[in-house]
Amino acid sequence: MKNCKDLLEQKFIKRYDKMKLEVEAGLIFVDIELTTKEGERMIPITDGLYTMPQSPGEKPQLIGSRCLSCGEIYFPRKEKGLCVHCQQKNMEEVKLSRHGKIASFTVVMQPPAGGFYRGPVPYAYGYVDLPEGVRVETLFAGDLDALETDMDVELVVEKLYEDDEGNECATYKFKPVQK
Amino acid sequence: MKPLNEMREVAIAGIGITKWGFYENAEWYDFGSEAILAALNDAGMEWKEVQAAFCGSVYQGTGSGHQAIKEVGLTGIPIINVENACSSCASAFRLAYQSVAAEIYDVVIAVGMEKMPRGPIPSTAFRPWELKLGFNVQPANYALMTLQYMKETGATIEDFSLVAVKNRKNGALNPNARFQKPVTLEEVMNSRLVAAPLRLLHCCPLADGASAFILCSRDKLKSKQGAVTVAASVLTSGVYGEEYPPADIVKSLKYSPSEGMTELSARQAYEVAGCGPEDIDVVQAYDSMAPGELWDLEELGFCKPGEVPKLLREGVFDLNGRLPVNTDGGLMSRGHPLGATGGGQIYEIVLQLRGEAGPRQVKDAKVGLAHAMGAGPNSAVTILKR
Repeated sequence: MKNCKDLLEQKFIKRYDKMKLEVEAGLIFVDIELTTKEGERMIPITDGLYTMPQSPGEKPQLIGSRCLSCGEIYFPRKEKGLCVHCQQKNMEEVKLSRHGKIASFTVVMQPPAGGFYRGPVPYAYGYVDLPEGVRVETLFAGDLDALETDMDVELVVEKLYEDDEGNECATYKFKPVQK
Repeated sequence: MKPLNEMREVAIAGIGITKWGFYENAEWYDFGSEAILAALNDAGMEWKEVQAAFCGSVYQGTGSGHQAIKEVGLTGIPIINVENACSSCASAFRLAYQSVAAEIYDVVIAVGMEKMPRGPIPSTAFRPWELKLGFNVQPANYALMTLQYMKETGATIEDFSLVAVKNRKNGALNPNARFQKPVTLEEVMNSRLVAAPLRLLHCCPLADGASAFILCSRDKLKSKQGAVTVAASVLTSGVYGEEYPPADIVKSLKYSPSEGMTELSARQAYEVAGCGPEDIDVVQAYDSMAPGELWDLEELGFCKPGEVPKLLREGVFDLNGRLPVNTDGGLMSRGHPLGATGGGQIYEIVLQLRGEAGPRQVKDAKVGLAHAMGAGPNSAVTILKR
């Protein structure tokens, strides 16, 4: 749980004036993350998937785990620190490459079951292989009709949907590299 | 660990099935008890002779098998509920088989039953954030495997569309199938796009239904003539590094296994049964999505990787071909009541080995193989012989 007032004082909030007043009055505490991206307020879909840019020139990176015993790499990171390949508990957190190649993809034509997904439809997801030797499951950004296997892609962080409170819920995606 | 092939021989005394479809006014215990009674009748046995019950289902909740058996009669026997995703009934069958092989019981029943949820189907394979990213679309997860298979082997959309055409043709001869109408290649290729490259008619339909099997030691058979026996019943639940998108498992690029889950279960089954793929006369492969049948037949050892599309076009897997596959129409025609599906496959193999498959009978079938797999991940291989 983070004190929202502390975060506000770090320059981030742009448009939640009502909440700002409440926070200053000591009325509420929130446990959300705030980002600097162009003054927008974006909440990651979940914590710990990617690094948040801290300055304008910085780009996000996926956070993984590497086993120091067998070398296996995981995304997302292994919260318990256990390597499920060799069963050793000898892991370090690593930032993963921002570039990779599409191993497989599909374009989904209707909303998935359960109502959990609130992004646009059709949408594309699949696998990207990163050069250090890890396959990542990901959504794809950009022109979905242009996707091909072996295509060079790079990591981006984008808004997926706006939640009921008006927050922009963001996720990592991979996007074809402009040539 | 005692090898199963050194244990007592187990026979299938009776089989039962319901007509699979959508039923608004019946529940799983209705289908389940109907299948149990049909199996008893087929075996010529009384319910009181059954010493243990193993009941497969996925969505029916706590004590689902008890509810079905309550409709037949509680006799003090143990009732074990088995939830193992799409392999639930094959897993229940395996437990039943083992309990007779190990001489714990002489007569047991294995049941698979399901009334599928209407609307969205929940899955436990995906983490909450993955659900928010929309990774829980099973046709899409099969599409991810399909695209890689197409790239590796050169298989085309038309190739796996022909699987749907073949299976729906066979299904037209199966009075218990949900779909009993053949489809043309054009209908399959022009059906609605679900998750590129997969279309609606590449996907199996859901269904409600049940199947049941009385297993026993040979001396308990009422009629020993032409009895079908269990040559192997193997279950493998995933190997490290193998990709299985429907269970949310991503391939390891560093530690890809030399033998996948299906190949491992098939090898173990052939070892126990003392035979090889060349000895199999009829196959029930796993065709929840049409392209799945292509790589399934390869992983079960019936041909080399990438060879299936050619053999399919040559008619090798047709009813009158060298190796008939999914003679009852497969999941494509039967439909997919998750907890009953593996049983539907075993039921068809028993009919074929007994020579009771009517218009879809494979000539002189002596050994048959059924492969149930799916989320978990699980791969259950059952080999039967007469």
